[in-house]
Amino acid sequence: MGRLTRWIPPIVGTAIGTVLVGMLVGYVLAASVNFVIADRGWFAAAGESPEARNFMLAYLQREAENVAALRPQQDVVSKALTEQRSQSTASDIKALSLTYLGGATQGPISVQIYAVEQRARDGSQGMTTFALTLVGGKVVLVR
Amino acid sequence: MTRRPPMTEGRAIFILALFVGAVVAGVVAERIAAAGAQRENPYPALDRVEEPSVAASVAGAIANGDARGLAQLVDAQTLQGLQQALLSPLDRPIADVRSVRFLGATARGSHVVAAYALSGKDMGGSDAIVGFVLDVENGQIVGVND
Repeated sequence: MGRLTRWIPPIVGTAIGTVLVGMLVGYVLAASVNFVIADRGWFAAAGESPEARNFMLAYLQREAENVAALRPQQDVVSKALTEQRSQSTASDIKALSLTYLGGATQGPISVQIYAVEQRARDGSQGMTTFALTLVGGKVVLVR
Repeated sequence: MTRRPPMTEGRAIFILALFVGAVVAGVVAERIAAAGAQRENPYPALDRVEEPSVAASVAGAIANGDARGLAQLVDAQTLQGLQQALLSPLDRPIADVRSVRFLGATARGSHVVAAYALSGKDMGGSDAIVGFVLDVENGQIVGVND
C-alpha cells in the first residue's frame, strides 16, 4: 500500500480524496433533507409519495408480499386475510386506469388519494377510490 | 515520506471546486437512487376535472361547521358515510376542523370523484389529517369513499 501511494502524485491523491468525501457529504445531505421533509413531515411535502404509489401498484397487481411489506407489522392471521382478500378481488376485477388525485401531510401523517377505473368479470366498469393514510412510509389505513 | 507542495491560490480553488462538484454529484446520485425506489405506473391516468360545485359546497359546510347546510346538501345515507369517512386514523370523530382542502378530481362519464384532505383535532385532542372522496353524479353527492 505504501509503495502504491508513493507512485501517486500528491495532487491526484488529494483530488480523489476530495471527490470521495464530497460525494459522501452530498449523498448524506440529500438523504437527510428528504427524510426531514417527507418522512418526518417537518415541512409540507407536495406530490405523490413513492410508498403510496408502490402500495397501489402492488395491490392492483396482486403482489401480496409487497402489499404486506408496505403495511405495519401484522400477525400471521391478518397477513393470511390480506392474501385471501387480494386473491378474491384479483380474480373478479381488472384495473384499467390509476389516477393520483392528490395528497396532504400533517406532521408524520400523510394522506394520498387515488381513483381506480375497474372492469368486473361480467364486463361492467366502475370507478373506486382509495384514500391511503401513511405514517413513516407504511400504509396504516386504507379507506 | 513525501513532501507536500505548498498550497497555492490556484490549487486551493481547484480543490474547493472539486469538493463543490462532488457534493452536487452526491446529491444527484441520491436523487437518482430515490427515484429508482418509485415504480413506474403501467396504467393510464384519467384527466383531471374542475371541482364540482356541489362537492365544494359540502367541503365548505364541513369546514365552517355548518350542520344545517350539510343536511340540505346530502341525504341521510350519505351523511352516515361521511361520518365514517371523517373518523381520524385512531377511529375518533374530528371535533375541531381546521381546514378542508380540495386535492383534485377526475371523471368517468357523468361520475365525478373529488378528493379532499381535512385537518383538525380529534375527540382525543390529537392533531389529525383525514383524506376523503365525494362521489358526484348529475350534480348530486351519491357517495363517500365508494
